[in-house]
Amino acid sequence: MSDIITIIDYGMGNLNSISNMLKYLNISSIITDQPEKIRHAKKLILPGIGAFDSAVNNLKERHLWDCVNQMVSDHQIPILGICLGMQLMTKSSEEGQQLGFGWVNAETKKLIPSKYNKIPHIGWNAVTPLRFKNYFINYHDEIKFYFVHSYYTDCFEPEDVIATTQYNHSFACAFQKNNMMGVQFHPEKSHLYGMAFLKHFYEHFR
Amino acid sequence: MTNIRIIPCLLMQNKKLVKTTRFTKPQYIGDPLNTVKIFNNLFVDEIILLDINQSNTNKPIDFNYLKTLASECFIPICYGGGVDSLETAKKLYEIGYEKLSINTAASNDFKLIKTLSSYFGSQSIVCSIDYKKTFFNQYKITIHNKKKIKYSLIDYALMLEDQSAGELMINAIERDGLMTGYDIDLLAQLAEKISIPIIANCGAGKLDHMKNVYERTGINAFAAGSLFVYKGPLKAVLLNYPSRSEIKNCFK
Repeated sequence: MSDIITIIDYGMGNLNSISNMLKYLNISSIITDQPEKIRHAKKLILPGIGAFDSAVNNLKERHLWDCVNQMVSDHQIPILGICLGMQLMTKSSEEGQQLGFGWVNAETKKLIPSKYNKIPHIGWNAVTPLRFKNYFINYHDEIKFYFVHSYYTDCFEPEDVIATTQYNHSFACAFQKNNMMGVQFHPEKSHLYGMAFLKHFYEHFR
Repeated sequence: MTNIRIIPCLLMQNKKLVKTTRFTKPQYIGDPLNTVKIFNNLFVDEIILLDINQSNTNKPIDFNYLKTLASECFIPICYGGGVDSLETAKKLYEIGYEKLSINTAASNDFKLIKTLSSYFGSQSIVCSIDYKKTFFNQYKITIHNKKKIKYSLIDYALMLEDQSAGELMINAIERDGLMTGYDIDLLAQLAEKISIPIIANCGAGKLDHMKNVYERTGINAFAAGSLFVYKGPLKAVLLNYPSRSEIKNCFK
């Protein structure tokens, strides 16, 4: 259990809050943009806030794209994608022209707004776990996480979906396939719920 | 009612937490670090932290200090005060503020909002508008540096949205600290025209004030200062936050 978590820094999003929560949980982590460090990783987190195409471009410019792809596809290193990091695991996004990693049979699509539920979807929302249920703690009769996004992933294989959330329509807020897991919500900003989730990812996800 | 966001709005002045009345008479509330810790433990939905002097001083932002504050916070936290360039914004991001509130700088340079939102995504950019109601029932935008805005509040808000702001925070100066309720008429007008999320601020004295706005306008994010830092008619300083069941009962 001495594996440290390697957080991939490609210049998108606040990595400090992820490492901060891991530190609170006594889980060591490093933040790196060095391909050679990523090649030695035992467990990866692909974070991300921002635009899809900028993310793909940044990963490629920093020579991280192929390296991450190899680690995940060939070496089966467990990885957690958060928010945009989850969306990058899909084939493509309505937000941009670039292609994603395509590890999961899914596409990233724009949320549909309504009077009461505007876009971006910002705030806490209830999450319904379907699998990996012990990753989700129930506190005060609620399971909820913090969301900030305008796009969601549309999973074509229902068995990949771990949990769903309702925002004008239901969508997969978490998926898992083999060594890949992606979440649309921000565990690092979801207090107790996020702590339990990251702890389980660290201890049990293989 | 997980979609409702109830947000303590904390005002900081020279690393002290204060609470103002109508944007004046800052009263000392306590130590920011302690306060952020307590609100984190109270499991609030989000925190907004505004340095109310930063835009008016030449002193650089103390990023190390802000980093200490952010590291106590496992919930979303938004920072405002002196966010005037992409460089500043990047540093704030790195140290753990996933949302930035922009007010004075937006009035100086509209393009800054677009620059920031194309870099970080619009969801991270909160544009904040301070206003007063004039004698003729007009809404007049007030900028910290006394700059005059020639647009009406609604037009200004639409322009901010057009520049890809992710959220709008609407601050009714004349209601600040009074705890008599939000400016529901203006909020209703804005909610009609604006399609990004709106955060109502200034005036909350009880949860029902939030419910009233929600029911009439659909706005679901509410910031408040006095409500969460004072208790009782004598306004004794006591940090507090409604329980989940109080919120549920109010908004059901």
